Amino acid sequence: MARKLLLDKAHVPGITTYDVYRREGGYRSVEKALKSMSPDQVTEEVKKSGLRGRGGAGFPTGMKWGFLAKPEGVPRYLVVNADESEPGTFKDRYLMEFIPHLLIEGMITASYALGSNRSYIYIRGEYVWIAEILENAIEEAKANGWLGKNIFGSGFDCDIYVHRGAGAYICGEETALLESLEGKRGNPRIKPPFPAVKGLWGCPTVVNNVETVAAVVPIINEGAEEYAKIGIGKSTGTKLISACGNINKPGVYEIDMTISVEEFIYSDEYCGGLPTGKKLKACIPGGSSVPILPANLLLKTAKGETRMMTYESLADGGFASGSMMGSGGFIVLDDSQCVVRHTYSLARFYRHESCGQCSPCREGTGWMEKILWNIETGKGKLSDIDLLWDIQRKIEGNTICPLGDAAAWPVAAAIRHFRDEFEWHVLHPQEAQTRNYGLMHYADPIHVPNSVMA
Amino acid sequence: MSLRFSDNKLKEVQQIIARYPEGRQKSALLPVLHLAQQEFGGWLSPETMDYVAGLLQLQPIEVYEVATFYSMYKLKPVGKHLLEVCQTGPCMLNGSEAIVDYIYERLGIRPGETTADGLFTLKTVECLGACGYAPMLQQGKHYREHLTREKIDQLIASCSGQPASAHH
Repeated sequence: MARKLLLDKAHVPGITTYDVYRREGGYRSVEKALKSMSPDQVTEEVKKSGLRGRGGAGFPTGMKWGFLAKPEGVPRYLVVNADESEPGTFKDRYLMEFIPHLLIEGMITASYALGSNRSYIYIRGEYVWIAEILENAIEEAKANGWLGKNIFGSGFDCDIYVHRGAGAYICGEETALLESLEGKRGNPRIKPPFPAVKGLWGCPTVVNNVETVAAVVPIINEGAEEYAKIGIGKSTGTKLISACGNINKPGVYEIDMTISVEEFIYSDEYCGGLPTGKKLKACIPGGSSVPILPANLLLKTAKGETRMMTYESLADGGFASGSMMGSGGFIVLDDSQCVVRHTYSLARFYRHESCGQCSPCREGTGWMEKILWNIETGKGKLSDIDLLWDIQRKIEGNTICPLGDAAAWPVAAAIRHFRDEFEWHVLHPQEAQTRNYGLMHYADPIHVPNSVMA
Repeated sequence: MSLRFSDNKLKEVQQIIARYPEGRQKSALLPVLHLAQQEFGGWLSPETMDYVAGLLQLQPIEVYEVATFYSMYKLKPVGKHLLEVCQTGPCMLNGSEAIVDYIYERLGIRPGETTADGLFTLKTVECLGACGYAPMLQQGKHYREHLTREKIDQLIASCSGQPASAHH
């Protein structure tokens, strides 16, 4: 049984209320930090824990905190990124809905470390009811002295506010999020300056994902060393994985990063396998932006090693034969699914969500969507497949923010691993309207040439 | 101007502004637009947007550029019940297209259309973060998840049978 640090208490009856949360040991990390640690000691502890950003990029959290500029007389801000809109990802929603005080507790401790007296939760606008749950939790925390002025005589002031977005994937990108929090369109900013120097209202700011901030609680309670003992290598601690698609038990699972992908998919403790009679065709292990992998490369790396649910193992092989942990949005496709149609759906998503600032992304995402639709509906040409490859190459790396890459990678990976399915659509336009390509040879090991471009 | 928040709602606007440091009331724009849309008929008319601009001491263009950026703000009137079906990858894998087709079968409307009686508007939207509970739709502030034809039937019946606002 895996160890749970975030969700172990999530289903205690009444845990959304302050009284039950406190009775179950809640807010101990704030007590410990305020009474016995300096802000820098809290940051040090987070550094030592090896915690990496849980939003998608996997950047070391303690290091990010260490970059925060601290000029005299200028306020600093902690902003929690609860915009959660990467397709396949619904873990933060789960945490906030079932154990909201864990996020508030983590925020107070993190705000103390960073010197933020006013911290914000930027939550996606559609999560209306979760914003209400969080506002209740904040009020309860305040009524019990954990927020406000001079918290328990420590001299530290902190307030937390919830800010609802209004429907825009791009606002999950931290500088777009800050623009949105300032009441503007969510257009990402050119970096540098980084938010650590110039963030919210031009002040030094740390933007962290919900799960990242929640993880600060067990790190402070149990100590960085205990936390870092869980996991393999640089993948320390536990990770929330939201599993969806064609599996028996979709849902949010907290894993310690020591299990294999195969165990995660087929074990009854997690996804519970695929529906009867269906076979695993492909999987996007870390949210829609990361490369899709065919079944054979998902369960084993190109070197034939067991692929594990860790940052390193999921990325093993680079983009030629690997993928990424990303946001932990684990999407499974069975053999009745069409990779072309699915890729089209994702391309449509990125076209819709492109903010329009950068031409390669604004134009390219629309072209990719149209070309994929043509191929899917039997109007494609073989040269369209190369054209798609060309377009995605020209988007990747040529935009202000990573949405360009996020739009390019799914298309690139689909063509890289499923090119014959695209070609079949072009060569058999009539048949492709009546049935799907199916599994074909994907269940068997396929040769991955060294020359495949990353 | 005829358009005005009630005193209670004006108090709420002040509370929203107070979440941000002094002089940063522009930050209140997104939440105040949500409130305005809820209060003034489920969409943002130019008149509504101008009113919000005045409240927050912004230029009208600052409000228009925000209102046109975010998908939750509606720039045209919508039916009493707005059904927003998620169509992105994970929902598609679980049959969201069949849900859209079934709503057409029941109500005769395609995405972007409103029924003649003004009761329902159907829209397709991109990922709402309910991928594990697919297929799903958003109806006002509620997520309707694990959709089936039966659940759509029930939803339509409850919306048609009893008075309800699109926002509650």
